[in-house]
Amino acid sequence: MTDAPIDLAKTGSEKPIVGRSLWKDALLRLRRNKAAVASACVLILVALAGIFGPMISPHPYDRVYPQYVRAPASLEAYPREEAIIPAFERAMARTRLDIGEIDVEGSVVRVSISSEDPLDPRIVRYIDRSDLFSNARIEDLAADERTGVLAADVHRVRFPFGTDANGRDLLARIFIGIRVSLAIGVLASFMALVLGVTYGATAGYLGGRVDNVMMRIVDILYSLPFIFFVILLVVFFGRSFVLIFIAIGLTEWLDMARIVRGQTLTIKRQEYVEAAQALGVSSWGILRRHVIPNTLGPVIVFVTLLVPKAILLESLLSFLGLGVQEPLTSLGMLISDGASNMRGASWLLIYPAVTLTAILFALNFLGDGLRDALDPKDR
Amino acid sequence: MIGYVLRRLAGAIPTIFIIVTIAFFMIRLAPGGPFDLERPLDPLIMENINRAYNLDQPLWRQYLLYLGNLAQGDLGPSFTRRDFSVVDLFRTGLPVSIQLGSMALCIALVFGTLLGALAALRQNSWIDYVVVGTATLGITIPTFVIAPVLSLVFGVMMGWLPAGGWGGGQLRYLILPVATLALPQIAIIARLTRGATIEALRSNHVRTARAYGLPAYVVVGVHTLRAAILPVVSYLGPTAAALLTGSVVVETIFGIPGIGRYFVQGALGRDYTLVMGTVVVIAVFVVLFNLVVDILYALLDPRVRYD
Repeated sequence: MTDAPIDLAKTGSEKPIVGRSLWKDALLRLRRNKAAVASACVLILVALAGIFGPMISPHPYDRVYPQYVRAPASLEAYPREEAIIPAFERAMARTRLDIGEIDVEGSVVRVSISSEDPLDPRIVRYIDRSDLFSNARIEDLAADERTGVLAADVHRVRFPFGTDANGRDLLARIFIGIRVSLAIGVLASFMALVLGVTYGATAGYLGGRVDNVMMRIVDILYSLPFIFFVILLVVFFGRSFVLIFIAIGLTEWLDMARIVRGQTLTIKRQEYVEAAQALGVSSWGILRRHVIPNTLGPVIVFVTLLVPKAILLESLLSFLGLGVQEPLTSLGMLISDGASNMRGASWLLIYPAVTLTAILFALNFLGDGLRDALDPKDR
Repeated sequence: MIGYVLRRLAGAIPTIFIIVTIAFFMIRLAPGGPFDLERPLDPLIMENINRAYNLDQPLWRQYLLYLGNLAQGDLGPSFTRRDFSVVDLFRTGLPVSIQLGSMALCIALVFGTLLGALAALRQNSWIDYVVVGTATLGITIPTFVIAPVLSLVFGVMMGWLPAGGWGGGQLRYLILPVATLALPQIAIIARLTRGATIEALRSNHVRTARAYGLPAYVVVGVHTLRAAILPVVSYLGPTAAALLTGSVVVETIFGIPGIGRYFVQGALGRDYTLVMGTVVVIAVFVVLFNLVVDILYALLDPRVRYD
């Protein structure tokens, strides 16, 4: 992918224009790439949805609405007008009172009630127990306490993406799914980044026998069927959020180590490294000050391609039932739920699938754009 | 050549041995066992079960026993599917997975190389853009999205094809799973072929062939394609092994009785022998197909020789 080493010193000095660093230059090139800019915008929006969505969403992601199981996606508020009276009748049947005509007025339902015995004010609880009504109260209570009017507010809720098979708001669940998937993707990539860069830079810089042994270890790990080992790890040590991203990070650092090692091999022969050695800077100091910063170009490109890979791996694990635990969710888990409910509830599959695809697309296009921007030789 | 093949096959044995060893001890290190139930079994019964499956022996002894049985082609009894040996399970499941996988592989190879070569020959035309755009799409969308969406659209909404099931291997039941398996591979192969063809068209031997005045179809069909197919061949090795041993996603979504599901199910149920069996089968396939790739390489690329 990015095996061609970028000679950072050269690209910087060849430009006669004053004051344009490599990074500014790359940013300019990136901005000219429309697909990459659009992808960046999509990603920012999605990330914002993942961070703030669960906070501003009217429904908590684990709140169950037993009376709105698999409610279709719609912009209109629930309950539907025609559903109010039957639902109210059902709730009233529990009170075992004689009831008159049910009257719906805006968002208030009224019914006259009567009974042999004095009315017990606790009957309002039967109404409040329903998801559809709230704030039930007895109005116009007669002096003998045997007749009155029972009133309740219709509790209107909106499910723009519908609800799932347990009656939870899909939009809120997608928000939390984005948060979990992105967090795992970013954290796993970060882990692969730290492991791979340290390992690769050390191997490349020390060279010789150490390099040989270290890279043989990478080769051996490489030849193992790694998706299986992720599954085994998760099966062994349980299904926690932390373990999942560690498992993915542990499997994804190998490429990074190879790329960084290759870069380091060229960088360590540069004059500035020689100068630093002559000045007596320690190996770790040279690595940190000179080698690692100069490998960053290809590393950044690789990380943007690593994030979708990690998200994909996490989604696959979730899909197999090895992901985060309910009621927490991730995009892969939502897709899996959607797949098993797609007959009659297709929105459960469509919205999470579109969200995941959009994220993966945006990350891939951004990665391609970054590669073009940071590696002008490739064009 | 035959000596080379034999040497490679002999060299595969230590590889498989290492994989088997690692997998054996990893799965045994996992907490829990195959017979852990909600309500613990009577200790006496537990002891009998353990003895029946040799689980009462020390781990190194079990390991040696397993290796001995493996050498004789016996993968042991399944722990969770009673009355089935792992070999029985593979005997019924493997043909199904191989049938699906080989169909997907052939389709992917034909369409992938055709589309890739077409895009390369008409570089920067609308055909090229369509192929590259679709390929990006196919690579990005994961299988576990494609599979349920195909099933939803063609199985549930349109009702043209069965949304799932095996149906004894009738063609109607095969179309959607094969399409799911093939689509991402078509995309990847098309991209590989396109890149390699563009490079091959610029290479010296193709220029020479053109200079000799060979007809265009010979230049493209023989000299370019032969060079362009090389990266596809090396990609196909591990891919073929993965496709033929079944995909857990496709088999789960379409309810297909292949062997792709066994690894996950076995790992979850601590079915030690089933997991080990799957690992062995996959390792054998990977080794075999890597060998096939190397042989094909020698046939396609005259610069490569094995003596």
